Amino acid sequence: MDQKVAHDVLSAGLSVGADFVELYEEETRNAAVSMRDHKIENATAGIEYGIGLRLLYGTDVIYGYTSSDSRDALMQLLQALSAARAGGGINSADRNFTMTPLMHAPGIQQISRKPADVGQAAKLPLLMRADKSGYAVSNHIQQVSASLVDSTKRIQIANSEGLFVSDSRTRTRFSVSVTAEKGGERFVAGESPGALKGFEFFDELEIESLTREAAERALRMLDAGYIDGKKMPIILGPGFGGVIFHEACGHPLETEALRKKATPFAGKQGQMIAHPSVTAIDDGTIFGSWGSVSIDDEGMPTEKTILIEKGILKNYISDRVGAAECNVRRTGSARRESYKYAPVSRMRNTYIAAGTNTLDEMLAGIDEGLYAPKLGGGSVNPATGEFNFAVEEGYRIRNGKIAEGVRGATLIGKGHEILPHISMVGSDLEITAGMCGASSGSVPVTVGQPTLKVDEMLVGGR
Amino acid sequence: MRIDQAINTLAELAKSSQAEAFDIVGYDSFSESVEIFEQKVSNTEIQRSSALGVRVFSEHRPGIAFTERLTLEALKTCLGDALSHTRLTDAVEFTVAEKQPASDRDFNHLSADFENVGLPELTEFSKQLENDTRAQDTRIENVPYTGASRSASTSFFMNSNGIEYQQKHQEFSAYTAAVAALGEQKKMGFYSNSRAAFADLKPLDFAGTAARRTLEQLGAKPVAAGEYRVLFSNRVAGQILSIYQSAFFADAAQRGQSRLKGRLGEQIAAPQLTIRSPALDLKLKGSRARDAEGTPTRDLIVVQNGRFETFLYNLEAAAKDKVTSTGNASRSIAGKAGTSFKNLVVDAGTTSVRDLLSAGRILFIDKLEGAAGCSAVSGEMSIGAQGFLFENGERVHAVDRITLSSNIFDMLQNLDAVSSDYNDQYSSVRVPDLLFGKIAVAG
Repeated sequence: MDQKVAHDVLSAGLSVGADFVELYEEETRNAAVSMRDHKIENATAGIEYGIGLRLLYGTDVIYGYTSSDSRDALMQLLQALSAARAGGGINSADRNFTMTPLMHAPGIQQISRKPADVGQAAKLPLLMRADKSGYAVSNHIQQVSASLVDSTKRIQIANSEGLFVSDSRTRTRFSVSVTAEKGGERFVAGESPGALKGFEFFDELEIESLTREAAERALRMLDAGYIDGKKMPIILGPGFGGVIFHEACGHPLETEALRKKATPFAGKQGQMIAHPSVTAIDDGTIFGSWGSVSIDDEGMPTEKTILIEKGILKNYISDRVGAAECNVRRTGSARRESYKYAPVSRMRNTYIAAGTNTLDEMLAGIDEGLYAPKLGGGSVNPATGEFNFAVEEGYRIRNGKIAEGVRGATLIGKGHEILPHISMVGSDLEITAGMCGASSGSVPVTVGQPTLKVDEMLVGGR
Repeated sequence: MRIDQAINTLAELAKSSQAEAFDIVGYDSFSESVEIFEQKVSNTEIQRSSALGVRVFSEHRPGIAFTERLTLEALKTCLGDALSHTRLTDAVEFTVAEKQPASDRDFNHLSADFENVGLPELTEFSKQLENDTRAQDTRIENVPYTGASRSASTSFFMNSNGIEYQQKHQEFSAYTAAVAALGEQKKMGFYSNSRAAFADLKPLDFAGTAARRTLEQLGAKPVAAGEYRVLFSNRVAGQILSIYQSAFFADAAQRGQSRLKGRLGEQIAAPQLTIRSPALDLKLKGSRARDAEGTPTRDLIVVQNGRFETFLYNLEAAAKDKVTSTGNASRSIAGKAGTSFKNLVVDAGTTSVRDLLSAGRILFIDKLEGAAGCSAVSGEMSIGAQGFLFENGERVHAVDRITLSSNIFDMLQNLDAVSSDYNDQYSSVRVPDLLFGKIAVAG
């Protein structure tokens, strides 16, 4: 982005009455190779490019984007956006500002092998390792598919407060999906680790182990029966179990929900909303983690945000607009999938902090329950807190012991009602990579937790 | 450069490269939208974008690349990437579509008033819609999401055998959500729809539906666990079938990812069920003359009176089965071609919903909550739901916090009836209410 052009556009934005003007330029290079059934099925790469222009009038957002960085294109876009603001008018007050020289965001990743330098061909032997190790697990493995994806996003942000900052984010992700089949029954299981790292992430990955894990889970669940649906105690395994907190509590703690009064946590700051054993964190600063960002997509340095401390609601997750509208502090959590979206408050690495309980302590006293070491996806209605999650790998708990496997179970509840029922928290914290979809698109996040015991939750089964 | 110029330029570059064959897909899209909260315009967005993707074949190996930059340099990089990818992929048995005649009907879905309705009209509409929603009932305490938009897009296709195809689409959309509370219980009802003509979007209709959906659910409670006859409303029946639609795709069957593999000609569903993939009906949103690989589309009967008649094919799957493509390819600029119903339509029955609900105890499901517990590969269904319990046509109470568990392939065999009513959505999915026999319910 040419600094002079950026300054002129930002100044012009102020002159048409906006209180705040921001440019966000992005160029992202994506590359992926995928394999299925012993064959390299697809190789693709591409460039995404555009500039987003955001005008704020108070907390009202006007946003648009263009694929050209020319002065004419940006001024045309500004004209269209300001015309959309009826009564915006001309601001004759002195709104001069000075842009800082371009600053580079502090590093939150260390790349020893840039994917673009390594090239797509280097992914082939890694994919073949996944293919070979998956089929080797059993004759009942019917399909193995795997992919290696990398993306490098370069952004520049300039705003009418003088900020001019750049950042580069390289992410890499391996995905494997294994289908097991026996007697016409099929079960699919997968693993998808990712990191804010370069190609070295693939080099260091235990591909055989991850693939075997997915294959063995698919086989175990293939032989599993069904659970009778009803309310019962639940033990959620570490890692992706945190998706329940992410969906049912994290989203309602975003100011994007708060500003629409569409959250059961409105007005609860400082109040006890969870069991005292629960401390929950949203952390953008974890070095090299898939969900981390050095600066958010408004250019603000990210931070480690305590959401819930020993059961008490401490902070919301906020962006510039949400912080202003909800009168809370900014947490460096403004995020967007790309220049095609205005940024809003979003999670980064969100997890329930480790406690001290052991799995045996959690199992003791449960006559009948469900142990769910691995969840699938789910959904939540932030306005009501209602959620629904699939259990990818589940086992009955019978008389304090983990018993036979069960498939097809779902977990149903309301986030704010479940929090007080988390009665034990383990010490085995894990975080897992995922993608989170919301109004500013799909962004990389991690979810996490140690093993948790929930005293009562509705389980769907048959 | 403009998207049409970029596609022509890339085609010229590809012709002079070592590519044996190529095809290009592209789009040009525009939209304007407003979102209202408490009578303030909280968000306004103006979006315009173009991009293209190319698939080349060299020594029978495919390579794909895409770009949102439409400069000559970026197009050369894009083609170079695609060609380099042909050295990584395995050889395939298909190439780009041969030139064949397609329907000459006009499949552009245009709006007569598209240019006359802009942000001022969308804003006024949205404010009215929010007011109307809030005014529906004193129990409505919040209207968190209300907005309207207009959008236009043109999709482009070109290949090295001389096929060129463009299709335009314009529409207006709106949505509103109402939240009401009864004690500690909160419920949110949502309604959205699209129309080609702005005048066909009626704020009061949107407001009334969203409010009704909210208020009807107040006081909802689970039903006792057990087996129920379940009537999926025409609001959700299409969602259910869409979750499992890949079972009808040839490429899924070839990969062993469909339980319908090897079952052509068999009775896979009750005789009440006929599923079509019509492509040439101008009234349906997904209709078009050529698919995303340039193959002419056609009207297909996929399941007729319960009998499985055909899989849906793209070029690659057709080559593997040594048949011709049915014209059901789908494709983004960045990815490998997949398969889709052009429109997914279930033939309506002759019985009204009211009559279907009058026969004994029936769980009427009007909202689904996520599909993570559903697998198109295994057919497993475990899904949260909301709705109503009916006894002999009388609504007993609203229902929530339940899960339905079954297998779609068992359900299709246990289909009792198809209603005579479609919903009012402007969509490529048209499925009436579906009444199934015993489904396990937990609550």
